[in-house]
Amino acid sequence: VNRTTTADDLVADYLHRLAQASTGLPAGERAELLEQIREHIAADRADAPDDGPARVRTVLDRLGPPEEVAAAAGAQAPAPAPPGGPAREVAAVLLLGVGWVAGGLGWLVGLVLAWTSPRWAVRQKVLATLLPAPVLIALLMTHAVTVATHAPLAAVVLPLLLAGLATTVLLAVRLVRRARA
Amino acid sequence: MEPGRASSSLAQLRRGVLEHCVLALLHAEELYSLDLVRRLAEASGQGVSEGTLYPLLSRLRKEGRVSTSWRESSSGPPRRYYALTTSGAAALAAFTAEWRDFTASVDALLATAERQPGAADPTDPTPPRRTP
Repeated sequence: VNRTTTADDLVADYLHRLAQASTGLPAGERAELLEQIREHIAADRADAPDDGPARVRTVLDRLGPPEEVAAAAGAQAPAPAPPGGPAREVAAVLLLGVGWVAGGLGWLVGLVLAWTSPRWAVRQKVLATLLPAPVLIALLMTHAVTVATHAPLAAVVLPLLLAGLATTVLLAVRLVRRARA
Repeated sequence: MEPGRASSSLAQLRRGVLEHCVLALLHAEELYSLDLVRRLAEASGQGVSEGTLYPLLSRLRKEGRVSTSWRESSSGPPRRYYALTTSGAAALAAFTAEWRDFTASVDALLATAERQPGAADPTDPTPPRRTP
């Protein structure tokens, strides 16, 4: 198919792929990497008496896939902190903490926000998912206790519900703090 | 141990010592980037892509272990040469000493295992003797 592919085309294509693959790097590091690779190819081609497409292909093969080269640079660069504040995490905490009272949709949106968060590790995501649990447990216990003992509802509901809410708030504060760090 | 596991831990080891291999290569002479990367890829064995070594060189330069300078070339564009800095030489000396200790201990352990037949040899047909 590529009857007329020249050595220059191959090099241009390789550098283009590398430029694409390295967009995640800080600008300075990206420019340096592209410069190094460009220089590597130029030096090799200058040394070789035969500069045909087959030879250039070997040079590029030895360099490795551009995506792999960019990944090697990314792995060594410190991961840049996601820009902006932890708005997503605050929304997730609100929706998962109290939003579910209004209906299942709020809970679902909160869940999606939490699990797509770039600031939380899996541990925080699991904790966020469990945010409704303390209040739900408090409600279940209230039900069980009132059925079993016929105690006045308010005397049981209030302390249990308060404890559940307090646990949720405490957890929520820790999660938001973690997202800010 | 399964062979895949052994070769994977060796691959990790290679990656880990790679930066000191750069320093070692530059100990004797300054090298230009292409030459340095080629030798490094050869020294670190099969499957190392030359391009993935450049980020390592950048990091070493930023850390001050190596320095770079441009020189004219008779056959093409100017070339970037890498040289060991004083700090790089010190890092190499420190690593060399620790590496010698480390390999000596591991060698001794491996030799001990080899002297105990059966324990580390899955092809040994004799069943382990039970202690009464």
